[in-house]
Amino acid sequence: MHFARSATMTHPDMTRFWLLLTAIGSFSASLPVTVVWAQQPAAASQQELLRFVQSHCIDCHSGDAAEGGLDLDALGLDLDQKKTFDRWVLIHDRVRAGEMPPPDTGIAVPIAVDQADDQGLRGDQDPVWRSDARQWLDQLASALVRVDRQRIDATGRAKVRRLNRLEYENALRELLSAPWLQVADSLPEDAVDHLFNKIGERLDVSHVQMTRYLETARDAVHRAVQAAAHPTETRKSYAREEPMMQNYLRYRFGQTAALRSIMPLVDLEPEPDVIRGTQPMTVGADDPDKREREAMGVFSGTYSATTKYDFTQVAATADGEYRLRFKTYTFRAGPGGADAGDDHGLTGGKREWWRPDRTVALAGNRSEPVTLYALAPSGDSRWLTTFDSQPDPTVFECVVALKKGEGIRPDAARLVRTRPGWAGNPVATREGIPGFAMNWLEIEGPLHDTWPPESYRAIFADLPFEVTAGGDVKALSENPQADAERLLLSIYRRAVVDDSISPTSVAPFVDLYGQAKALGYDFTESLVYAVAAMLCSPDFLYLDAQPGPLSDRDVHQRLAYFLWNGPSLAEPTSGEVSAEEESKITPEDRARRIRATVENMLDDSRSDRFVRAFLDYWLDLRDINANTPDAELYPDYYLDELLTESSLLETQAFFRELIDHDLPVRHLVDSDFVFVNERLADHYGIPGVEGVGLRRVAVPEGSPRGGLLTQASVLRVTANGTTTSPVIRGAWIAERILGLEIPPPPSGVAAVEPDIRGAKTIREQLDKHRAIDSCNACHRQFDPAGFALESFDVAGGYRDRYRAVGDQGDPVEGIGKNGHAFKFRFAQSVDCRGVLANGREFEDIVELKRILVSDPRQLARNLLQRLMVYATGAPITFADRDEIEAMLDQASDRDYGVRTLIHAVAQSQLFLHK
Amino acid sequence: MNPNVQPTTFRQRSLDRRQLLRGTGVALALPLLDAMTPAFSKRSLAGSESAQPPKRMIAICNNLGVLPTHFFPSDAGRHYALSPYLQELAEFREDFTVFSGVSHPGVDGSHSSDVSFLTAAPHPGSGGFRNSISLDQYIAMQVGHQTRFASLTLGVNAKEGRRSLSWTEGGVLIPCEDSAAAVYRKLFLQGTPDEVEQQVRRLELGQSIMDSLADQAQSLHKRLGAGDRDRMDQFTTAVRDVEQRMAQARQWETRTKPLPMTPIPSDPADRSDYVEKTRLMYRMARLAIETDSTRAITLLLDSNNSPTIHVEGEDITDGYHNLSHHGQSESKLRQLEAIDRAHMRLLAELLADLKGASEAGTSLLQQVMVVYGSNFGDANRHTTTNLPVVLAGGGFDHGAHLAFDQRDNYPLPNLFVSMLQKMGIEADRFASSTGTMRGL
Repeated sequence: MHFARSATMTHPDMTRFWLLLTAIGSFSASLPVTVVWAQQPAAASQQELLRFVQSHCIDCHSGDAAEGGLDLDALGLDLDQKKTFDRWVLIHDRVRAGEMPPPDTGIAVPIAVDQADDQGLRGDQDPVWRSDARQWLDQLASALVRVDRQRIDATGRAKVRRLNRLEYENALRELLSAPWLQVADSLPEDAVDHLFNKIGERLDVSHVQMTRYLETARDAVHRAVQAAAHPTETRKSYAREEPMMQNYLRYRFGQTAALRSIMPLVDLEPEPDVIRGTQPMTVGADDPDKREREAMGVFSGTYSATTKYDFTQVAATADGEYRLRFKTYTFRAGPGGADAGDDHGLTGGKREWWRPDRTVALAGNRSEPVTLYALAPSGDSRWLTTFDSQPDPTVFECVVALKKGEGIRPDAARLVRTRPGWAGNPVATREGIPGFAMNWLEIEGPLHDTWPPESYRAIFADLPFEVTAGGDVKALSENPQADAERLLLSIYRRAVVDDSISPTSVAPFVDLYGQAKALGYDFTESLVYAVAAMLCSPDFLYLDAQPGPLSDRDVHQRLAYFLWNGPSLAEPTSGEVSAEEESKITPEDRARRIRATVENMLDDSRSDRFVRAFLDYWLDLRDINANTPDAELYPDYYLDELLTESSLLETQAFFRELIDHDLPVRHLVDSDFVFVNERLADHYGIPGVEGVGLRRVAVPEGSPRGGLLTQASVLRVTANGTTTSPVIRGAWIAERILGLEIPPPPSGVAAVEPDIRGAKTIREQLDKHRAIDSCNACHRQFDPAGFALESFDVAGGYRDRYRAVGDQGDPVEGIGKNGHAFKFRFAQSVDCRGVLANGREFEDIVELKRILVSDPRQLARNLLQRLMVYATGAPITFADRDEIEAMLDQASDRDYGVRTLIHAVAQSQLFLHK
Repeated sequence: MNPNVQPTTFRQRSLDRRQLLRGTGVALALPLLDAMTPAFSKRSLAGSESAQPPKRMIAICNNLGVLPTHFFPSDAGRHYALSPYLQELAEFREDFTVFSGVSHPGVDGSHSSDVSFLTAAPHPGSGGFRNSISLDQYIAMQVGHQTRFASLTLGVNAKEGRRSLSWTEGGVLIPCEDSAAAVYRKLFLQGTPDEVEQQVRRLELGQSIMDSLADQAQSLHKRLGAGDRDRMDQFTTAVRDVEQRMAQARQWETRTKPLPMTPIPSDPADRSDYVEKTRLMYRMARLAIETDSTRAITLLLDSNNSPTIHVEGEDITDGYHNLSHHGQSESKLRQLEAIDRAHMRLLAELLADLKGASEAGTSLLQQVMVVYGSNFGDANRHTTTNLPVVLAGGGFDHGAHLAFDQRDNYPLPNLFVSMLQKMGIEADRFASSTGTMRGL
C-alpha cells in the first residue's frame, strides 16, 4: 500500500517521492504493537469498519488517483482474498503506528515506533480521533484475526512441504544408517522464503528435482549396500613415497622456485642428495627406524599448479567414515635459498633471504595451523578439520567422512600462498623460513561398528551376501519374493516411522521390485530400485499432517526436523503405553514430555545440524565465501581461508553457547565473551591465544567485540570484499537482528558507487542522498546502525581509517599472504557516530550496542519469530501475533534465554498445530 | 513423511499408460538438416511442436588464450578496425561480436581457472573450492531431453578425468571425450544390442517408478486438505514430466541413428597433432549440430597440457605452455603468434562450415551460438581478467566490438544469460551475472 501526500505539499521530485512511499508501504508488520484480546469481540459489521474509512481515509484513498495507489473503494473488505487481507494488515499496522493519517503539516513521514503511545497512534493526534481510531483498530484487528483463524482452522498454518535437500540428506543418513552419506550437493538448491529453505509454499518440485531425487536415492541405497564390499582396512603412506610430493622436490618446467618446492627431511636433518637424485627417495622397509623419521617439508600453501602437498596413495576405497592418523612437525629452513640455479637451487641461482635454503634445517619455533581437506580426483577439495602441527613430531588422530576416491590434502594455513607475480614471503624471518612437515599418514576404514555394516543391514537385515569378482555386493536369498516383501515392509515402517503400517501399504514397492525382476535385474538390484522408489515417494518426501492439533508422532517428527534438521527414527514415547494409560495423559504430562524431548535432542550432537542450518539462513552464513577480500586493499585477508573458516565456526560456537547455557537473548547484540582461536584473536586484537581450537575468552576491557554484530562472519557477509556500506549493514541489522522488514530499494535509484581512491568517505557520499527528505525518511531508520559498523572492515577487522588505493593518506607497504608486494594507504578517518530514528545518539558501536540491548524484548521477538518460521515451515501471520507476545511475556522471567525461547516454540500452540 | 499413512490402493495400469503414450507419439525433436536426415525426420519435423528450428550452442575454451595485443581491436563499436587476429575472421565480420574488458568476477586461480570458464565459480585452485553448474549443463537440464544427447563434452589433449568445461550443479566434473572417432561412433553408430538393452531396461524401470509415484501422489492427494492439494498436483506433474522424458529417451535408444555423409575420422596418434585434433573435434561438433543430436557442446582445448605442437608451415620449437611464458622473447612471440593464428583459422573453418549449411531456409550459423574464448586474459602473466571472447552466430545482432572497462571488468556471466534467453530458456541469472549482456 502507499501513503498520501498532502495536497499542499510541494516536492521537487514527485516520482522519487512516490517511490519512497511505495517503499514505506511495504515496511511490514513486525512492529511491537500488539492488540490484546481478552475475549474475541463480536465481529464488527462491515458497515462499522467502512464508516471510519469513509470519514477519515477515503478522501485521499479512492479512485484512479488514490494516494499511494491505495484505492480503498476498489480494495473492498473481502478478507478471504490473501492480497486484500495483507493490505488491511498493513493499513492496520500503519494507522496503529501513528503513521496514518498524515499530520496536518503535510508529508506522511513514518515515525519511530517509540514516538507512538502505548497503544500506538501518535501524540499529536486529536484525543477524540484517537479514541475513535483505537476502537476502529480493535474492530479491524479482530476481523483480521477471525479470518486468519478460519484459514488456519481449515488448512493449518503450515503447508504440506517437501523435505529440503539438507533434510533429505539427513533422512537418508538416518534411514540407511549411513551417517557418512553426502548427497545434498547432488540435489538442486531450494528456494528461500522468509529467510529459510523451509517454507512449504516455496519448496517446489519439477522434473529437475524428481530426476535428481531418484538418481540420488538410488545412488545412496547402492552405496549403503556396497559398504559390505569394504571391510575396514588400514593403509599407511609415507610422505617420501607420495608422487605429488616427489614431483615438487626437483625443479622442473614451470617450477624453479625454492619457496614452492618440497624439502626432504629426516627429523631436522636435510637430505639434499634426495633432491639431487643421488640418494634414494626413502630407505624403505629395510630401515624402519629411519623410515619413521623421514619426512617431506613444505613452505607454502596449496596452489593447484605449483605446490601440491597431497596424499593420494591412501584415497578412500568407498564412501564411509575413516580414522586418519598422521605424524607431523614444524621446522624452519635456513634463509637465503635460490630460485633456478644448479642442482634444483641447491647451488648457484638467484638468492633471496626469504627463500628457503633446502640444505639447512632448523627446529620450528612455533606451531603451524594446518587444515585437512578431502581431495576429489577432479581437484575439488572439501574442509575436514584443522589441527596445530607442533615443533615436536606428534601423532594426531581424527575421524572424518570421505567419499570414494578422495585423498587427503594438508594445507598449512599460515604459510605464504604464492600467486603469479609473487615476490616475497610474509612469514619468513632472517632466522629461517617456516615450514611444516609430515612423516606419514595412515588411513583406517571404512569404519564399521558391526559386520556386516549397519548400512547393509538397513536394507538387507540378516541376509547373507557375497561379493562378486567385479566388487559388487549381492545379497543371497533363498526365498526372494518373501524376503523382498518382508524387507520392504520393515524399511517402509522405519521410513515413515510407524510400526503399525500394514503390508498392503508397501504393495507399490513390492510391485516395483517385481517389475525390476521381470526386466532382468537380480534380487539385490531390484530391491535397491524398490527402496530408491520408496525414498522418492510422496509419503517419504513430504511432511504432511491434517489441519488441527498434531499427533504425538507428528509433534515428535516436527521437533526432530526443527532441532536435528532431519527425522527421528525413534518412537515419541519411551516404552509401551497402553491405550488406557495414554488416555489419562494430561496436557501437563504432554508438555513435560515435549520438554524432555527438546532437552534430549539439544544435547544430542545431531543438534549441530540445526545450529549450522539455522545460522546459515538466518544470518546468511552460507554465503561467507560469496565475496573475497580484495587482493590490493586487503592483502592480509586475501586467500586467508583459515580466517574465513574460523569466522564461521566462531558464530556456530557462540550460538551453541547461548543455547547450552540458556543465555539471555541480549547476548546476540552484546556478550562479554567471544569464541576465538589464534587467528581470530589476532584479528580481534585479543592477546594470549594460541592454536586453532576455538575457546571462550572474556572480551578485554575497551574492546568493541562481543555479540553477533562484531563477529567477523557477520561483518564479512554484509560487505562485498572491497568496500562496506552502512546502508547494507544497517538494513541487515534492522532485518536480521531487530526483526524489521526493510523494503527493497526503490527501483531506478542508483546505488552509491564505492570509491576506493580515498577521495570521499562513504558517509560523505551518502550524506548527499540523505539530504533528500524522501530518501532520508527510510534511510534514517536503518543507516545509523550501519554507520556504527563502519569501524569494521570487509572481514571484520577494526579500523579507524579507511584503506584506499590512490595517492591520499599514509602508505602501508609489505608482502601479502599471496606473496605479492602490496601498497595501500590509510586514508580518511572513520566516523562511526550516528543518531537513531528515535533521536538517540551514539558515538560508536559500543554505545549502539548498549542502546539495542535496552529493548531485549524486541531482540527476543525477532529470534522467536525466526525460530518459529524455521520450526514450523510457515510465516508468522496476523493471528499468530498474540501467542508470540504471550510467549515473550513468559520468557521474560528468564531474561529471554535462548534455550527458553526454543522450549517456548516447542510448547506453543503454533508449533503443536499443523 | 506421513506417520499416519493409509494403505495405498495400487492399480496396475502403468503399462497401459505407456502404450497410450507410444500410440499417440510423444513429440520428439529430430534431426533437421535437409541433406542428412533419415526419411522419418521430415515427417516428424512437420508435426513437431514448433516449426522454428532450435538454437544450439558450442562453447570453446583455449586455456592458454591468445596474445592480447594481437587479439583485441584498438577501437570499439560497430565500425571498429579488425585486429590482426580477427583479420583471420574478416569474412564473418557481421557474424560475430568481439568483447573486451570482460571476465568472471572472483575467478582467479591461474591455470585452474579453465574449470570455471563456463561456470564462473569463484576461486578455482584455492582450498575448499567447489565448482558449480556449467552453462551447457544448465541448457541440458532444460532442453536436453529433446535430443538424443542432452549435451556433448569434448576435449583436445585434456587431462583425463581432471579437466573439462562441463560440471553438474553439484560441482561434479563431466569427463570429456578426447577422441573424434569415439564421438563419431557415439553420434552415428548403433550401440551393441546389449548396451541398448541395458539402457532401455533402466529407462523402462524408471518409467514404472514414476508411474507408481504418481499413483501414490493420488492417494496422498485424497488425504490432504484442500489448501495442500496444489503440492501434490505439482508433484504429479513433475513425475509425469520425468516419465515423458524417459519415454523420449527410450525412443532415442531404439531409434536408428542418423547417417553421416563423412566416414569415421581417424584420430592422430600424437598429441603434437593438436591442430588436426582440434579440426576434427570442430567437425564432430558440427556433425552433432547438423544432425540435431544435441543442443549443447563444450570443447576444452587443453593447450596447457599439450606438448610442442605441430603447425603446418611453421617451425615450432618449444612446448605450447612454455611458449605462453614468452617473457617478450621475440622468437617465442613469433611462434606463439603462429599458433594463435592457426587457432583463428580453425575457428574460421568452423564458422564457414556452419554458415555454408542451411537449415529450414536459413544458414545453420543463425541457429548456432559459437562462443570462443579463454580463461586467461594474458597467459604470460596468468591474468584471469580481460578475457578474449568472441560470440558468433545464433541470430544475435553482430558486427561490433563491445568494449568494457579494462580495470573494472564487466561480468562475463551476463553473456551466458543472454545466450540462455536466446535459447528460449527462461533465466534471468547465471552464477554472478548482473543482467543480460549490455549492448548485445
